[in-house]
Amino acid sequence: MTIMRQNEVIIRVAGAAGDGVQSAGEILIRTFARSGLYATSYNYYQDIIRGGESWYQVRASDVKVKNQGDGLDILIALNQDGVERHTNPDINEGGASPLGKDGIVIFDNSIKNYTKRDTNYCSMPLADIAAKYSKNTLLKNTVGLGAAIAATGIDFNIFADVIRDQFGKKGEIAELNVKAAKEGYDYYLANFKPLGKKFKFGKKKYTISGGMAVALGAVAGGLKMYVAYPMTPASSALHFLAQHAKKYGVFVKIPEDEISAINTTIGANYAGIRAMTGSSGGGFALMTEAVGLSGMTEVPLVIYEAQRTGPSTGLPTKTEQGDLNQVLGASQGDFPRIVFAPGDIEESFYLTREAMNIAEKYQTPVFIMSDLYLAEHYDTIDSFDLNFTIDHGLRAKDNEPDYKRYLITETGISPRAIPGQPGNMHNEDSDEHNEYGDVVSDAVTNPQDRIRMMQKRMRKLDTYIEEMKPTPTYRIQDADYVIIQWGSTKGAVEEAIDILRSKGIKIGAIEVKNVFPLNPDIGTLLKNRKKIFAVENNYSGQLSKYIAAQFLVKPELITKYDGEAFYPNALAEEIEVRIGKKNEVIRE
Amino acid sequence: MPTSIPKQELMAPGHTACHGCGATLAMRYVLKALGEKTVVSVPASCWAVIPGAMPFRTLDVPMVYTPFAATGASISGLREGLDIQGKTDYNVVGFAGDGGTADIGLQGLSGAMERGHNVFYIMYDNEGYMNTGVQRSGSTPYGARTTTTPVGKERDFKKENKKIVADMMIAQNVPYVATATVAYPEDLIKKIEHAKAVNGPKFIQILAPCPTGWYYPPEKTIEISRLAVQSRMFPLYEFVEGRFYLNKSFKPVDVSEYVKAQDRFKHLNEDEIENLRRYVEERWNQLLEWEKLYSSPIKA
Repeated sequence: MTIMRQNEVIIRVAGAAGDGVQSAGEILIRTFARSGLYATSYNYYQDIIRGGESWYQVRASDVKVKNQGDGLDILIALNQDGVERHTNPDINEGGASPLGKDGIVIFDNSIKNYTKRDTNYCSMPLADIAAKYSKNTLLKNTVGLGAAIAATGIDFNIFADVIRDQFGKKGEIAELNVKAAKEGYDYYLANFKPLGKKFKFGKKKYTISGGMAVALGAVAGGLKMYVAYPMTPASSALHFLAQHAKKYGVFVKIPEDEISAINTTIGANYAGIRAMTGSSGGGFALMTEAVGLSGMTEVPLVIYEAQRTGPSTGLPTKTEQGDLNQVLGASQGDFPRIVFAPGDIEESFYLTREAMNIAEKYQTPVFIMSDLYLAEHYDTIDSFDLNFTIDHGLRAKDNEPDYKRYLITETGISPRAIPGQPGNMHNEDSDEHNEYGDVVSDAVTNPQDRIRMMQKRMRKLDTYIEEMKPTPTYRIQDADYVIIQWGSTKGAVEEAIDILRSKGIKIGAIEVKNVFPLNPDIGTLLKNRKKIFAVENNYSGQLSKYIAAQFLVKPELITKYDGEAFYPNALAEEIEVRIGKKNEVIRE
Repeated sequence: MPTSIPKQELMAPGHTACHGCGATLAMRYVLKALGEKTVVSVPASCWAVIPGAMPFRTLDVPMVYTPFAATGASISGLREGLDIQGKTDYNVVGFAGDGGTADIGLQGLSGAMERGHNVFYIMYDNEGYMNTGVQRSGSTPYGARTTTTPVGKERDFKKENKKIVADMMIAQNVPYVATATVAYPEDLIKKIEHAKAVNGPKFIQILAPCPTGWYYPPEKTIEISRLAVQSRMFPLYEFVEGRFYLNKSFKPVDVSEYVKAQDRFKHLNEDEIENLRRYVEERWNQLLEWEKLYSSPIKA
């Protein structure tokens, strides 16, 4: 059962790929952001260039919205399939709610043959209105958006400004769009009732996607070079950086493959600048060997790994958290690596920025693990805190007498010299080496060097664990039940907890942002609970197994691997069933 | 006039390419020329998506997907696997885009060609990563705008020249190398037939215009494909057992006619078009020299 809040609206634009679904959705979220509401979005699309069903959902409220949300207020259907599919309670769109009896569906009056269901049909002359202004059939989307804006009660002028921005320099086209939208807006008000939403409008917000947040976080963390090979969903960061390369002073290059991308990045870091690479699971697989190179030679490296549904090509436009085993296991041998998993867009910014410092401080590979849902959806933010100090870590002075690149230290961190610095000649070798960097790969001649060097490198993890921040939690005091959560499931988990708490179930979550190494405080946080759940967007519960092994706990798995993100209501229901507060719901 | 194009259709309706897709025409003609005893290997590319989504399947020949970098390796194994079973009469075709060929797949391609497997490697060249959102590739020509060589306030269009894989294959002395394009299907099919007569590796680069990534109306694909040849932006040639033949039987047009027909070049000013004009001229002269240079087979 979904309770619709008066200060919240969920709009879904549905059509075929190539119908302009995404740009319509983006205009909506910008409009909400600019009118001072919080909003978030969800893009459901397929790996098809044209055709195929797609939809874009925007949820807005005057309080922070954490995920795409349950329920649906307004459906803008651009074709008959859209009208049919999203009003049909028997069709499961990866968990998205169909339109209910209080919702409205806005569609063109040429669509006539649909199954009549218990909802409000707003058949409108969208195409006829659009035809008055342009031959471009996509203009009917704008008319539909105008009608939806009228239904929400948002100020039309704000919407008009967003359209003008969207069409930029094409002034005439922008004005045509505004006029068409206004006619849609007026038509709706003359013929149908608004939804009666009441919002408290706050300050204007910014809209930003997870991929953009990673890119901006890296720039704020001193990024000077981004080298990556395009792969959905990591490409959103690449495109954003390519577009703004000059403005941010970042050198952006797309080499011939991922092997080249990561090794170019390592080369640049070795040269002494902050460089980063990014890919999704398939491309990251090609980077594997170089991850260990960075670990062994102790060259800082930041890798953005945006997961999508695997294995192999999988579902290229769908989300999953299935790459953790790969990231934790990438490359042969033991070496220190640090893995971050931001849970939302703000964390994507802050953790990427932090990763830039951590990589240089610990001279080792650092990962930002995101996923398609987090990387591609847009969210609103008030602002970022830009107060940050770049820490280049331990650097050698010029002409150090008896310079040892891999000096054995208590922290495991050795002073780093970079090419061009006077003196300090050394090798950074991928073979095992001694403190000077000289190769000792024939361990028979000096096994002690191997042992000491291995221990020195691995000690960096102990040093890092000491500086780790406590594991973030959500409503965990007094909780009988606790959910282990990582990455983009954060919003859905938190909202599910709110739902369960409102029913008197004492439940909370630990949010694992430091996926590797794990914070030892997790053991304490999981102690004395009635039950531990692990919520993961994958089949086998990759994080859960690894936490189970480290802390000797037995989390109960709740997984989803249909390519879609979790929805809070469905998750809350599932948990109720598992703790015996509700009889099992029979589902397909 | 009777056409030399075989009537047999091995590509049925139901594919999911964009309207006006040059890459689909390329596949259709290649299969017409090769017939049904053909196995196709496709890496990540537009063609990984084009064969159709449930419930459609557009190809009437067996097809296998391979990782992005692996077309050369995949067809090597396919060929030898078939041969071991005595199925030597099957054609093995790698059908890869320019990203999968000029960039990530180059090493695998070169290896397969050098080892001498009896395979066809077809590079359908749409001059960018069109399946993943129009990013630049090594095969994108100078001057083009893509999402990774964007033109907005900054004019970051591609400044590097096109990497011409067919030229590299000639340098590697591959037994059969040709360039073709979809505007000239008879020529394309004739080249596949010539290639078939060669026992060994063959490489054919087919220019496949892309309305989605070149930003032109879908109905102009054939026209643009033709202009590419006439403007000498994409010369047609054949390299057979060490001999080089350049196709000169067309009415030349100025580069600007080709450039102005596509919005991916819209931002170019006269000086920049002149750069292209000079490049085209110099390359053409170079190809004329190649006719003299490559006039007999060189073999150990």
